[in-house]
Amino acid sequence: MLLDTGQRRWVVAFLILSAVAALAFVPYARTATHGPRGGTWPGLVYGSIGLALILFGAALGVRRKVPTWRIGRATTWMKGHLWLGLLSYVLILFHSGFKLGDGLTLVLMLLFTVVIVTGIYGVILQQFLPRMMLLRIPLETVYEQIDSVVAQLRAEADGLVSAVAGPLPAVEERTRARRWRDRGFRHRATRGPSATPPPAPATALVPEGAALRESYVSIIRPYLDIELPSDGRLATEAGATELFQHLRLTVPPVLHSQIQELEVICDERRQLAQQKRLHHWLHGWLMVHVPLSMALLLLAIVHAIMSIRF
Amino acid sequence: MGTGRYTTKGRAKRIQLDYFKQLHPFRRWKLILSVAAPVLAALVLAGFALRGNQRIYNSGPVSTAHAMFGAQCGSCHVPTAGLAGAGGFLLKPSDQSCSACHAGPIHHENQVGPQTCTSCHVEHQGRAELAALPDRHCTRCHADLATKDGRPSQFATKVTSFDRGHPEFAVTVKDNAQSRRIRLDQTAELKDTSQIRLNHETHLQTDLRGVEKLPDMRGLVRSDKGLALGCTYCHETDDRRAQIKPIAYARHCVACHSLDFDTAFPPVPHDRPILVHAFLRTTVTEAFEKCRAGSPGGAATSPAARTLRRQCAALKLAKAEPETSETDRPRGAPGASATERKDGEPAPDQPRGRRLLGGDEPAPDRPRGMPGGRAQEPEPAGKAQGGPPGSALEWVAKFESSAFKQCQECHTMTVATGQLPEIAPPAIPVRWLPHSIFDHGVHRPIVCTECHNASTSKETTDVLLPSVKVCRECHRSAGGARAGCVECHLHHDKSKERDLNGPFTIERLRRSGSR
Repeated sequence: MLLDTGQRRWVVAFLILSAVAALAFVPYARTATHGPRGGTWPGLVYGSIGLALILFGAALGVRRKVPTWRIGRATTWMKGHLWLGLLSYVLILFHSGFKLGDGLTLVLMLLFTVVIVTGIYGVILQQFLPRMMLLRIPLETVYEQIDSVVAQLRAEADGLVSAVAGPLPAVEERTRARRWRDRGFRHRATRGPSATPPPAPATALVPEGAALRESYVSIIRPYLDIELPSDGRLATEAGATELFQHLRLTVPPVLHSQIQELEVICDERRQLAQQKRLHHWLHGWLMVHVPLSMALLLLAIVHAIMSIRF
Repeated sequence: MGTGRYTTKGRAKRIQLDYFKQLHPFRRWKLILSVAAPVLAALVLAGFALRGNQRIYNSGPVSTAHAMFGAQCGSCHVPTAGLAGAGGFLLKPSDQSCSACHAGPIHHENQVGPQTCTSCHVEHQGRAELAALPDRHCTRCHADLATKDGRPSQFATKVTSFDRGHPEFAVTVKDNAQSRRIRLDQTAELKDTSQIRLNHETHLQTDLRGVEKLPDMRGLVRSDKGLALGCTYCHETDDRRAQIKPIAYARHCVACHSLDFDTAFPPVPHDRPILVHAFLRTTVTEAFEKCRAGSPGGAATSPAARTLRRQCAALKLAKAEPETSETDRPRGAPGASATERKDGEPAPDQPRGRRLLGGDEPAPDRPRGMPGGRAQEPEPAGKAQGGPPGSALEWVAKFESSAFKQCQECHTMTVATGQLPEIAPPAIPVRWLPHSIFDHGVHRPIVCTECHNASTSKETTDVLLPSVKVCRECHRSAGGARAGCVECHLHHDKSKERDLNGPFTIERLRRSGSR
């Protein structure tokens, strides 16, 4: 979520509430006989409010599962998740008296800290990565369909080359999708009609097409695989320009239109690879933030119950 | 580049319409982890629960002394009366749990309001010592001290810290059988009433008589000026090096202050006057008798014979001659055979008191040998001091006078006619400041005279305790040595602590703590 002026009220509310909590904490900490602890009445108040805010933050996941619920706009929920979640950490710090504790409380504090840090990290990434994607990846597609689109690009390129240089050798599918499928996971990248090579255009075979065919099979086709080669010369725009410039010099002009098409396909493949990489940066922190939040939620409830008991 | 290859419709056609119906691996793994993480956490909690280990619910490590109870909350947390209606779910620490091992005697009989154990001693604060409490526990009451009966407290009523409000130290001064607490700054009334005369300044001078003959160098100080007694020669610490042990004549004084009354006789014991009197009477009369019975005129060869000769010479019953022979030993003297003793003469191994001369039993109401006693009744003319003695008791009286004069060097004595001198019992406090604890060992880097101004003290009545200001030189709240109440004061009276023989078995403690 982009932090813009629309969140000014949330920021002000967060700052005011944090300041109030801090102002209340100072005299409490100075006068508490045993120091600030979770078991005192002020400590319990801090803890109760903090837990309530944690529960609210976790409710964002439920709210997203049912987007049709008319219980506030999704952006409002997201802002609440962001700022009230941050406020909950402040309150829990006051609740604990800035001590990590032991056993379950230690685990809770560590989990909560990781959750908050990953959340802040995600918010920071949200400030510039989407804009970067917008500028650098004009051919951005749906993330889940990247592998599918790549398969279509390869089929399209195969058709272009086979039309002028003859049938291409079958290649071993060495994609990550294949490995996942072998392990029992279903992957949609190579499924569907889009992966089928389009019919070859009615173009006569060009005798000098062997050079194009060789370069395509050895360099270009591996780059159009779902899993990128580690030594891809096409991974950079400069490398691609150099390669295709060289190809234009080695093949007759009649094939330059095919080379132009292949260059465009490789450029799109490069953008999709970049989109995938940026997507992982943009959303990878959720692989830590969400699971640990779930564990935190469970343990926080257990902690609350056991603390009341003892 | 290439953006013009597709129309919007063409690009849309590349997207499978039902792609969202199945999870992409990225989303799938996020879901799997989101389920696995809480499940794993739940399994860990279940594992602890199955093992009966509740240590994970500790908000902090229990103190070292209670480590054996750390895994069983129920060892201390029990259903309390007010929470009985909760079906036993709510458990709180109770004083009964603590009293299984600790008596926790009340701080003061006149304190206001009862206090629970946990109002001061809070567990789960780490490995800290539970008795090491911050000052605010004490100042809750002592900042404005009230009493249960409403009468003014004898203690300072406005103490907020060692820096602020802590009164000057006080010592007990006995005056006319009345004990009063006098603060060290009440100089007009402050005096040491311990009934022992001592000039510290003199004892700290160099090259005192006899100091070079002291048996070991412990506590002695050698400087350019010579050898001198150090403070620790007399003021020894206990085995823990915390408290100063009481001064003992036999250990600290006798080397220089031997109770010799005559070189021919052994020193009198350092004991009550009645025992000193008995010793003198026994020793002198025994020698007198032996000298009269036998004439130690020959050369004495054994040490016992030489001793007897000296004793006889002191009693003017024999001439002091350097040599004696074995045959010249007086009968009955140490070393003489049983056959040499006269009939009816007691054996030397009998108690000396039984070997007194017959016919000189003291009056029952007064000790023998004292003015007014039968032994001091007028002796025949011509047998006074300077001439040959007429009776042993005459010499006992003479020596007794010399011996008791030495007592007065250190002791306060009352002499009454016809009575043994009365010595005021020494009243040196073992603990000068009984309301506090002090560890001399911890303070060993500091010269004793920095706190105890002994090097210029000449008067017996000088109280050499340091003022509270001296302590504050180092112990202060801001940046100094620790100045907390518990550094010097104990809350509970440890002398009232419960008996040993606690209620737990090793097996129970093992089950409670070592999981």
